[in-house]
Amino acid sequence: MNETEDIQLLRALRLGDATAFQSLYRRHRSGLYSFALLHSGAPEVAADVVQEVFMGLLSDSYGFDPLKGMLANFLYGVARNLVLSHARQNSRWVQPAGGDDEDDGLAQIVDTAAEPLARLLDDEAVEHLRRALAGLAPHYRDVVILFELHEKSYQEIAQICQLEIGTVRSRLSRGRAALAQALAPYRAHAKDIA
Amino acid sequence: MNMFDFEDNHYNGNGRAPEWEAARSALAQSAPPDHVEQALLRAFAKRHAPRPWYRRWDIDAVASWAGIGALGCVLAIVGMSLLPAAPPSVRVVRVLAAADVGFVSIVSPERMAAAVNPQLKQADLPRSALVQMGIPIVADAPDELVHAELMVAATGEPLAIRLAVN
Repeated sequence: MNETEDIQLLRALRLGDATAFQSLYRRHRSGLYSFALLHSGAPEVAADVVQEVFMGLLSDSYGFDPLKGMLANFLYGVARNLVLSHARQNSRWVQPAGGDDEDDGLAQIVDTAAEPLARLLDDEAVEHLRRALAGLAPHYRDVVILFELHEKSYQEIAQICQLEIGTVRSRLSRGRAALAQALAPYRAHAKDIA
Repeated sequence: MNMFDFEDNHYNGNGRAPEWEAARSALAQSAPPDHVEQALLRAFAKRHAPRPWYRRWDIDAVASWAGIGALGCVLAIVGMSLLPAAPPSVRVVRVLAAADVGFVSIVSPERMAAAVNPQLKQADLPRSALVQMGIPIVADAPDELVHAELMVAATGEPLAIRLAVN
């Protein structure tokens, strides 16, 4: 994504250019949607999150400052907060009380509302990944998704999640380990078949 | 080699697990439903709808334009005061020239100079006649008589006039 083009489009949309707003939306909708989709496991939640992200952008209620970082990462940060907020409201999972270093990375209550996503992602490997992610604690899940799916750097993830880089590194390590643990039966099964 | 058989935590040569590669390709073209974009564009259009003219003025804009207007007035007044005064009209010059003696010439200077033995005559003249002679006098009552002194040539031609001071 070209950050300069993003800023130009943002300036134009603030001046009332609907085409610029549409272009900006189309540049970022897929990434934000897939992030929210994999994080929440629910397409309707992901769609709501994307809509809310851009509603905030067009009303300028987030006060985005181009000097403080890239627009794309800023939007991911907003989407992350919205997904977490939505999950809290719906009590799909319980945040581990002990913080980063005291749990095994698995959420205590697993997302159970992801059937539409299972239908959407008609792929066995992806379905297993989705199930494994759903069992991951959210604060590991967002770091892992941003790193693995969106190929964000530690620095970018730290900016998006408002974390120290060391925390990002720690969460990513634990999240990947927990994910590998959750995927182990599937991988063993796949290996047997092969 | 099986796609899931990797030596280090099942991650491939790019450091990505195959499940992530599958997810990436599955989600590459994913996008929110069209109604999301439509709702956003409606909200955008509503937010940026043209406002009626009387709502386009906020207090800052009004204050700015009022300040600009006031400054313009001041500059216009200053500019006008710096302009040289326009030359007085012939009529005014004639009155001012005669101010010392109080006479207003009603003939050309050549005829005035050529006049021999002019005499002073007293007369009561209507205001309308004085106005016709070019005397700066209010003609709101044209028939009212005004006492005047006339300088008359030997031929009887009136040369200059002076209104009597009450």
